[in-house]
Amino acid sequence: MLQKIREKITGWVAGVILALLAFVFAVWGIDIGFSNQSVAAVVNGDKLPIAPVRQAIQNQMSQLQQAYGAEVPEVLEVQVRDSVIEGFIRNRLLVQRIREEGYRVSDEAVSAGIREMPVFQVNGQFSIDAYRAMLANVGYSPTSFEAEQRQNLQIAQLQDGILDSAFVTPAELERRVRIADEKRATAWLTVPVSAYLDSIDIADDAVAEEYEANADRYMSPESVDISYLEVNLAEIASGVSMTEQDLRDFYDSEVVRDPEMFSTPEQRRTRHILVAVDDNRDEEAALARAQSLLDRVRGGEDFSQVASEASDDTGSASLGGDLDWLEPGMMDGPFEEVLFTMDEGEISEPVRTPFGYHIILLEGIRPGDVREFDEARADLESEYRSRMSEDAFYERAERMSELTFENPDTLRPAAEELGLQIGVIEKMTRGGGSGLAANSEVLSAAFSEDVLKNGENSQPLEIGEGRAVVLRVDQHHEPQPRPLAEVSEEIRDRLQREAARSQVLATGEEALALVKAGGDLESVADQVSAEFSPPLLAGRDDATVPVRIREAVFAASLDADSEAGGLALADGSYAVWVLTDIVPGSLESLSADNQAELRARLAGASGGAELTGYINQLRNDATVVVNTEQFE
Amino acid sequence: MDDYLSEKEQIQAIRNWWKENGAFVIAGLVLGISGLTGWNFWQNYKLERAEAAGAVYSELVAAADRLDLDLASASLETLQSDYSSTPYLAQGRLMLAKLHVSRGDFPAAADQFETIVSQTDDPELEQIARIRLARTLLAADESTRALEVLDLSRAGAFGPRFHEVRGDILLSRGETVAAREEYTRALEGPQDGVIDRQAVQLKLDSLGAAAGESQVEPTGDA
Repeated sequence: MLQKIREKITGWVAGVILALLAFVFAVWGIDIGFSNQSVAAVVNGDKLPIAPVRQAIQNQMSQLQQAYGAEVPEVLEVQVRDSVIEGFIRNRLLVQRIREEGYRVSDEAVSAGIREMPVFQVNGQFSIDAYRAMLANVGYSPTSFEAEQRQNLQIAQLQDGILDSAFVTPAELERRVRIADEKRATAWLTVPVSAYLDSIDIADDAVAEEYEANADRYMSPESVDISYLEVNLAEIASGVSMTEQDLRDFYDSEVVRDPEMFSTPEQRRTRHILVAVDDNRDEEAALARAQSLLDRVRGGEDFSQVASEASDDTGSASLGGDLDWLEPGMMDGPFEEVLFTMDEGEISEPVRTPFGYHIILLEGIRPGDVREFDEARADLESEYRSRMSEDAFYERAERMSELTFENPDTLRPAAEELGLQIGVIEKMTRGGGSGLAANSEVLSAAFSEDVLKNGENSQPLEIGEGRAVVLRVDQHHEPQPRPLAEVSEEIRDRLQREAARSQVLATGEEALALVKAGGDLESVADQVSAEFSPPLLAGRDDATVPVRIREAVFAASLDADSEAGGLALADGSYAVWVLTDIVPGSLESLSADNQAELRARLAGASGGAELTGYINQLRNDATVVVNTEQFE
Repeated sequence: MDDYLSEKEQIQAIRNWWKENGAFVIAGLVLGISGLTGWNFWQNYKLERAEAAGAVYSELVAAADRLDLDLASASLETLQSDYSSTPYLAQGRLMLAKLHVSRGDFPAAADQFETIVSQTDDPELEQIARIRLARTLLAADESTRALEVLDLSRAGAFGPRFHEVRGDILLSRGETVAAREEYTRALEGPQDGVIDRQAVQLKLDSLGAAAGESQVEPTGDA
């Protein structure tokens, strides 16, 4: 086989093959078929790498977790996941579109965009060092970051083109105002359910009948009686005792272990002048300038004067270069090294840091200090107490866990060995109660299969910081019919309300018929003892008109059939309304500012909707395969 | 070929092969490299053209912002004569059309949209231009043409918006029943942000209840 190929590789065939190979490798590079990493989705043949998608999902989830303060419901998790993936897909579709169409943003525009990003600025100026450091931090190379920025800018160009060119025509604007600012004149009467309630007597027989007929409405909820053991850090802490000698030993070991806790560091009052090295000034020029400034201050010019006039650190320049008292660890390495070897009153040679050259003036020294035992005593006591009690807490919680696991049918051995009281909560429902019964861990453990059905001790539960609980169910109360005596008031109420509603409805419909037959609303109201609300002119959002009446009035029109209507309100009362006039909104009644604002808002909404359509259409036409397995 | 050639013979074999084929190999390489150079050149050329077009487009946008019609039109002419293969021509037309609308010159705006509809190779931009064309034709009192432009078979994802604008057009012709039908169908579409549903609902409500319909349909809680 190879032999044959070798024989054939002669003449023009060889030439053509070589040319093709050279061309292919030169154009596409050598990573053809080499990108076998996991993909999140394939969009029109483009593979979306999974890492950024995962990262984005994770970021959103952790935000949600903070908002929820606990476990995020799974439904929500799925929603977040899907919407993030969908976002990446749509972004890729736009990327494909800008490539096909040939949108192009220049290098200058890309770099200008990056320079304006606040994250890369130091003292209000773009800093190439900050830029590099920040990118390295999040794992980007400048090339890939710039490519991504270019892509974003190009997408923005396409989108802004659609958004910024949107408009609203005068007729559209006028019609919108006419409809949205329309006012309607209406009056209504209310047949209130409350007026009927008191007059309705419900016989005991009726109550008993309802109790029989709808027994399931009048059940007590399922509940459990539980007993529990709790190991509590705060309690343990209050029981920790210590002798003078314990504390002294503790001090001796802690001073060695954690010297910072017992010492205040040396502080140095510092002024500086910064000569930045940046795009406008190279290394050499900066050093020369620093040297000349140094000569000036050494020659007797006031340091703070020179700093405020010449320092590139704008923040401190306005304070005459003052940086206040500095401690070790607050400044950059080289700056600090020099500062902490200077003598009081000394002015340093130029010091190079990532920002440029600094000239440092040391104004004063506060020596560090080590706190003696007596001074540190209060801190020592609390530190000792928390150290001891935390150890004891974990030890006891651990032991409780062992003992309750070894004796799944009882809490007694654990209680005896650890000297704990067995606590009791009676009639705890699934809805919870106060104290421990309000805790969701406790509730789900108490009603779990192992604890409720099998009668075992629960796992140890962490109830917030420093509390561990093990519980068991002593008794399970199934839902029970509540005794008639207990629920009869509730039943009477319900029946009364139902009866009142039907009376109200009858009266209300009678009133509606009278109004439709041409009766005056106010006199009809009198006639059926309803409350009358006099005519008023209301806009669509006017809350003086109850929302249901408002909706009905704005859906009505000014003809004999539909200028009056009746409806039941949420509390069972009945309303009859009439529509007497319609006043269209007018553009002239809006100030010029408001008109301009509305025009801009409508144009914006129209452009936004068009852009949405653009992307939806791209999405509909795309071939997308989501690699769902990767997200299980 | 023999598998057991001496070193000398091997070298001789290679020499012979090269004598026979060397010219072709070199020609192949030259072809490959020049192909590559040409390709790169072409790519760079396209990028440069696009960047230059983008710069002209920016000038047009700035001119349109200042309501400077002469300058904006001049920029558009440059795009049209020198950069017609870039997307900036269609974008420039959108922007110029907006300027025409703000000056109340609806026929001129419609001309721009019409050109986009017939020339752009961006199918979604074409649909947007169609909607805007229909709206400007309506403003120019050409409702019959406006209706023709909004051919529903071309609506795609813009369906609800097509229906809404058709409703506006029909209403302007006094065809209330047909307009109500269009608004209703707009609202029946997917809730995906292609229309401002509240606004369309308002338009529909403002037509009053249809004959024979009950006017009271309580929704939501009081």
